[in-house]
Amino acid sequence: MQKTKLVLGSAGKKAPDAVTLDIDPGHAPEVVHDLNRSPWPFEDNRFESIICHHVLEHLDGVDIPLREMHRICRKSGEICIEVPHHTSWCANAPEHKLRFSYFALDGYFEDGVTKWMTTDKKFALVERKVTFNRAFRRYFLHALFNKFPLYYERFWAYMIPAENLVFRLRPVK
Amino acid sequence: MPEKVLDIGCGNNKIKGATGLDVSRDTQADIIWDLNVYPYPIETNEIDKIYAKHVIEHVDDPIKFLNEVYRITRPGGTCFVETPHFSCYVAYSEPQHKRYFSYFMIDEILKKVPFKLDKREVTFYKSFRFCGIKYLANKYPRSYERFWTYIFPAENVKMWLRK
Repeated sequence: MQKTKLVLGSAGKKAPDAVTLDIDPGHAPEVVHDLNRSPWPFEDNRFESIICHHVLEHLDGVDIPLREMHRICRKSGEICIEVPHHTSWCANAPEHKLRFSYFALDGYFEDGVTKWMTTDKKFALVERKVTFNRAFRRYFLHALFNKFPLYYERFWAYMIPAENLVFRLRPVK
Repeated sequence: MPEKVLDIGCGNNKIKGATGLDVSRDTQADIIWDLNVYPYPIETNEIDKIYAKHVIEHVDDPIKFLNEVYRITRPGGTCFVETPHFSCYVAYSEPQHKRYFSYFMIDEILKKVPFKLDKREVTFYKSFRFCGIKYLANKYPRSYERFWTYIFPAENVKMWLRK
């Protein structure tokens, strides 16, 4: 049976139930491809689940990957994107090209508030959260800041730095 | 003769009376042009007043961009540049941004661009403006960026340039 799960940028991780993709053949993924290059080598509506953890920040832009994920993901499927928050200590690694805030992908959501970006490939937002180190979770700051993300980004982001951003998206077709 | 005003990257809120230039067709732009393609389709010394709000962080090469803007500005004409400060979350809310500006980055750029800097300022959200932080930050910008910028994040950097 054809696998319906895709792990992008799988690196050394083993995922026997999924198709793994990486740019480096040394990691022995099932598919070797540069994600900056469109089209990706999969047919339309192939996958039920796409995992994209700590990949987007390594690419030249988000437009090609989001377009391609929109194409290869099924209508009922789900895309899980994880990227470092721009205040995270990992965000400035030398191989990272992009920085993300809580509102970074707003232009791609159905009800996104970004006015200056237009795209015809829209996603429904299933879940979005910003995650913190245990030292802050202890005081339930993650719950507070996820409730008031705009205030977090404006006033607290550099004093209480976050770790990662998690977006769970469903393509709108 | 009426003043010629050009709004670069006008989007959907073009400045009144200005000619708009944008890369996207879904805007009020009069000229559709990709700013990474030189030269721009405007004559030398043509424009009296240029607005480039939230544009310079999108172009591949800001020095080349400002040199081209310098060419189309008439002598004595002005150019207004606005861009998100690097401590503002808006700088990281748009994956198309290529770089993040500080108060002092224009100094380095102007070593290679003949514009004169009339004035510049860093702006803040309403709640910080109340406490006089804007006044202090603009009076002591070096100390602000060194010690205070992540405690009181700014909003935009505005620069007024003159040919």
